[in-house]
Amino acid sequence: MIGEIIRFEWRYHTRQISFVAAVLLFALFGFVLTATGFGPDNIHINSPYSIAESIGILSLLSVFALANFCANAVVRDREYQMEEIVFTTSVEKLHFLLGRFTGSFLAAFTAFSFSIVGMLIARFMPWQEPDRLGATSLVPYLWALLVIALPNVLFAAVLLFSVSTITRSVLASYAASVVLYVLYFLASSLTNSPLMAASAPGANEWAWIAAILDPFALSAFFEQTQHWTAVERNARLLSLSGNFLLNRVVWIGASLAGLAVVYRLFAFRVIKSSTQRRAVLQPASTGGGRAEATPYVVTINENAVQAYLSATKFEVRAFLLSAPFIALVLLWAGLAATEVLSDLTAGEVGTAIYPMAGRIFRSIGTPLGLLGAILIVYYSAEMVWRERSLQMSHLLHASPARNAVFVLSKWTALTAMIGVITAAGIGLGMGVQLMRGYPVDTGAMLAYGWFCAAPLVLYAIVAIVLQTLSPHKYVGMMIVLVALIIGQRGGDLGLDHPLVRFASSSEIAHSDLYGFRGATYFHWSTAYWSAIAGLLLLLAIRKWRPGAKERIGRALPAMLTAVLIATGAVIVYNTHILQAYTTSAAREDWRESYEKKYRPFSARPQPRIAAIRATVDLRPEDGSYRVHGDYVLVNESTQPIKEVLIAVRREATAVSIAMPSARRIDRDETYNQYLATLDAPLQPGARTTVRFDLRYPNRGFVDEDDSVVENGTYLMSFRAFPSIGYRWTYEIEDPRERRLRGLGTSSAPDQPEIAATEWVDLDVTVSTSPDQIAIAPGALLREWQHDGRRHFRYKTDEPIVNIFSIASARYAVKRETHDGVALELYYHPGHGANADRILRASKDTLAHLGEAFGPYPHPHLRIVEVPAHWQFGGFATGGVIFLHEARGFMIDARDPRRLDLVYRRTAHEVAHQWWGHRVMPGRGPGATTIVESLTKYSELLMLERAYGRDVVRESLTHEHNRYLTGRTGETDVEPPLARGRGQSYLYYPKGAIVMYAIKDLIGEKVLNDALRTFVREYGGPHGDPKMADLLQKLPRHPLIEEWMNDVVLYDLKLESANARKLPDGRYEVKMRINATKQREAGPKIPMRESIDIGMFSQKNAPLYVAKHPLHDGVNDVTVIVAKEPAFAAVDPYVTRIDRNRFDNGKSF
Amino acid sequence: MLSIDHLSKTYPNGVRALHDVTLQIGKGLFGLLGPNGAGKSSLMRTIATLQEPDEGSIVFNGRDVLGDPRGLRKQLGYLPQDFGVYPRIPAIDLLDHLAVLKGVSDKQQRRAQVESLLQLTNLYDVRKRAVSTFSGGMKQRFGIAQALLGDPALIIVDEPTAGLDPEERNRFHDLLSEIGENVVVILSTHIVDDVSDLCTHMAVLANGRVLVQGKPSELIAQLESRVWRKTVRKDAVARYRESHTVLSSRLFAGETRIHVLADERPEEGFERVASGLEDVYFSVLARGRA
Repeated sequence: MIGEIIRFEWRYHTRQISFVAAVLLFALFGFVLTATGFGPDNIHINSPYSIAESIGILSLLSVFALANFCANAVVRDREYQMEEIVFTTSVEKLHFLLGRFTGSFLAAFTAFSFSIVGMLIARFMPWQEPDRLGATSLVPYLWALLVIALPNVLFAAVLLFSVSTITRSVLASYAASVVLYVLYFLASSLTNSPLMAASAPGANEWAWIAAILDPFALSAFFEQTQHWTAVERNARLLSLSGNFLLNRVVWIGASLAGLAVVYRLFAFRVIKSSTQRRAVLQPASTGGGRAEATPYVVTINENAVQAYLSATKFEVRAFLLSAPFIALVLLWAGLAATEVLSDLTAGEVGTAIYPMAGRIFRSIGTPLGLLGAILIVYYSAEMVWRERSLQMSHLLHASPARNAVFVLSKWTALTAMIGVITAAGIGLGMGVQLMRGYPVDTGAMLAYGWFCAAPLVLYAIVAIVLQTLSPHKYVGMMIVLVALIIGQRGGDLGLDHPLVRFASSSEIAHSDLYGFRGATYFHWSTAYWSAIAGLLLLLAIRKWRPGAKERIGRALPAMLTAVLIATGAVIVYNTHILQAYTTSAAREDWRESYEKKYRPFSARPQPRIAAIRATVDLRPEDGSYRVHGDYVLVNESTQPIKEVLIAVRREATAVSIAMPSARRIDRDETYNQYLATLDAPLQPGARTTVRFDLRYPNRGFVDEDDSVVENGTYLMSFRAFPSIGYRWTYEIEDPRERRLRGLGTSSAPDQPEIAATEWVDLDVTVSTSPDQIAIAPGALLREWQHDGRRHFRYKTDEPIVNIFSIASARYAVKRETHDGVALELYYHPGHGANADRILRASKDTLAHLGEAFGPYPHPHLRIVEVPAHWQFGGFATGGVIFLHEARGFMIDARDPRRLDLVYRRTAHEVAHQWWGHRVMPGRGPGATTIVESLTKYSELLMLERAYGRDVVRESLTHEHNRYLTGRTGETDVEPPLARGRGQSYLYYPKGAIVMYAIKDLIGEKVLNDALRTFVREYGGPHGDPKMADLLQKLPRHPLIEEWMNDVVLYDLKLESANARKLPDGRYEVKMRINATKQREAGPKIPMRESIDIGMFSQKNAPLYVAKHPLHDGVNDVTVIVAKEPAFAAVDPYVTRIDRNRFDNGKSF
Repeated sequence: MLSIDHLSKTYPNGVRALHDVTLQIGKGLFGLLGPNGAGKSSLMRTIATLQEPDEGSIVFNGRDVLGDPRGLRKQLGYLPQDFGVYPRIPAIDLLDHLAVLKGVSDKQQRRAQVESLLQLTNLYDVRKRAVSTFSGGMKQRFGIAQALLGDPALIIVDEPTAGLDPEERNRFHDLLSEIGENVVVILSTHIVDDVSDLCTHMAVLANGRVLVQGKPSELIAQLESRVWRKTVRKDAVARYRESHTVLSSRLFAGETRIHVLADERPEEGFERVASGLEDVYFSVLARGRA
């Protein structure tokens, strides 16, 4: 019997057009994921890791497709009025339910399985790069299908099946699937899943909860694989163990429990609502004589607005005031609150942040967009097909009401839903601001709401149009889904141009300094897409009723077309006329051909800039600026120089370059390069001058140059000034792209700011708006007003590294002096909460590092706020430090239990005055290690002095995790620290750990003295130290040698720890420690070194910390402590890089 | 006055629903009779502008219906064969909404008409109850109430009495005949009695063609004294069908009674009976099959 039902169900589903659609859809999704090279660049597209991740993501989408199968399995009897027939047959309830479920689940899972067919086909596409292809094996596909997809699809199927079966409402099962997504969001934001772009990397303490909580197991997948290197990701299958196994067991169990609940609750009879029963019980109301009808007069006077309002009222009543939607809104509010509060209190390295509007929307923007999209997919289907599935459409269609009445009322209801969830988000955000005593930012919150909701409202139109034209509800749902994905990910498919990417413009940045940036573009783009959506809406209106097409007239389409053309023209004017439109591919081509043409110059000697005298005219009102002045060039090489290559950024227009000593200057327009041929070769040591005048006009509202803004200008020198010689910053960086283009290795081994070893005297005059303060390096010589502009002249008294920035804004200023150094803090009025903290950190750092490494070289230190759209936390230039709005000034550092990131970041940037601005290495391997690792070391020294060793431990724990995670993205072989070529996972976190471990090994004084000598010998112009010069200053030690020049990983494990109270009241702790040390994929290295072992009290106070010699293998250690220990750990202060730090400690 | 001229419709799946249908329909109740699948609903939907014919024209009171469907919809009341309603919406609210869609925009007028129709259809007492909970008869009365919204000049009712008990059906007929005094009412049905009870004019439709049209009385008169009846054994029916024009065979008190069309008494045992509309109907169908 049951077999028969399963077979019937299977046949039923597999013969539906929607089954074919689902099969094609999953095959297509699988194909697209693999075809577009999904997964990290450094691993194979068909690696077990990429396959598992792809299958996991696709299983998220399966919930949409499942609606057709599982939500329908029982409800369709009601829909097709078959209930009475089915329920009166002799089928047993268990067989009925199990059969229906199994059949529909098998159909759903079969459809899903076709995704691997798509993935496999894509793997053999000719455009795939050979070096991203691994050996093809079916095993990882089937394994991922088995351990990820099968339980996921099962759970989703049970959820949809049970909810729809118990409530006999498809809509309720949709709401249930939204709950499923919410669970998933929650889990992934807790784990900081790589899928949630908005969340910051870092804290992992809740990872295990999320790994179990996430019904799709993606969090568990990411947790298990987070430290896998590229080699492992290419080879290892997911292991069915640990939290991943637990997750699978939990959710399969939940699925089975769900089925049991359905079995218990499912009443095997036709459900009648209570009112219906009453109707049956009151035959009197159907009998009796007819009452006399009152006479009436009726005139037909059609009123479309009235009809629209009435219809809208019905839609709102049916969908917005329905229990599923209300539940969903409440749930969303709960999720958003969790998300906002956890992001506000768990920012970078676990710091808190003030609830700025931008910050709140960074937390809820993405989930809001996703939730809106899900609502659109489900509810557009329900709304458009509602009358047809109720068999009511004929009643309505025979009325003279215009099609627009129906289409617009449905769109209005969908828009209202989007409005409600957006308003919930905004209201919640304002509540959080109120709660945390932050000024409520109504304007910005509303604006953000508009930016989130407007594209969704346009998507709602598209969904309604597609459903109207679709022959089938579920097929329509899949089409809408595909349309949404194309809209979101269209860029990957080559839909680059703003006029073909639906309802998207550039990202909108918000800063308290200038408000919204990109809003103008957004509004034009929204107007343009509204016109298109309007035309689509007219199409839906025309086709809404079957039968005669409704006449629309010409006026409205003509008007919309006019708006379309006009707004399109404005956008094109801004993207193509005010600047040259390029696709990302064209930009890469440009870089490639530049490299091919000019790379020979990198080998030729070129003069260096020795002095800059320039005027920078900023026009914050319209974002334009002009840079003019002259350079003194000097030939520091040993050969005469005949030709000088002067490079100007390609965006500069109206450029004039003049050289008195040049015979001729040839301009290469494509690259904005000027090649000067000198009258006579410039002899070694000789000087010459270049005069330049560059203008950077306002380039319209799509300008990507966000340096000069209305308030909060931050202009980096290499963006504005010409440079001499080959610009290797133009080279394509991405090694994969280079390989594709056959370019060989890049000549850019390090970051741009490190490469420049030019030291210059700077004399710069900056003019800006009369109400702004302009800042540049050097002493402020003069400030004056002229021609309605405010002018500032700055001049350096000692040469600085030729990397500097110019800032301008309506700043508030706070000044102090410390030991003869003028400290000046420039910040946005209202952002002064951290002013004293920043100044204190600066003074502490100046004092301590001055003592340790030699005096601070400038008479002033300025700390300047830059707006939130910049990607760095802080940026140091000679004597001037730029600190980020959100990541410096708006950090909420009031909670003393949290790591003080304001202090740490300020100390870091001040430390750069020694490392990077006092000592500047030459380009080459290890240069960034000198600059950043020594800065990290200095930062930790300051942190330890201010907050103690526990805070250093906390900070290093973050660094440790950052290193292990960061190295998984390495596209090449990981180099040792001393030979790092710009890998940020090396020079920051590994550098911090290793430098602090060296301090632990040889003592702070010995290390600091060595560094002081290093500064003395190599500081200032022409020092150009190499990594070897630094190592040579350090004492010889095999461990330093190994940590710096090799890549070794430890694995320390506290196998057991037992405490025993001694008769004298002290405690004896016996421990067994397992230790190994090895190179990546290499043999074990013999180990014999002293490592800290610590005992800690209940309150985490150290009772005992001492070094014990450990060798590889098993070590037994016994210590005696005075007080009762609560916790024992090996290497508690993170001096070693340990594959698994979680097994280093034990509680008693 | 509704004129239907040479209407044809073939569905995409090849089913030929209407074939050169020409009808003249004046005021009063017009019965459209035909077996299931004859194309009645197709014709009704086409007149109600819910689908378009491939060929032909429909003119109502001198105005082209196909060219201006909304012009007709303003004067149309339509009760589809089978319809559903929004769940959980009270009858009075739903009628009000439908009245707005019909174009009764004056609130006073609308309220007056809705209440009046609720009384007319005897639903006033249950006006606040959701229509989706109504019994079959109540729902059907609701259907007629909504069809009367806006005082239509053309009312189309498609198989309205299917599934109603006799009492419900009688009440329904009363309603219809009352309405039919002033406007064009087209009643489609496969129940001959419905037509004979109510209609002043009628047509028989089968396989998409109009087989006959006229006044029921005149059609009946054409068969006057040509219908013969005999009670026979069940297994003899087939034999009679071969040799005679058997209009109908029906069980009556356990025996089979056949009606045969013939100018003379066909055989011993046949007795002449007064012809009825049912005989007309079956004779037309029989001719159509021939």
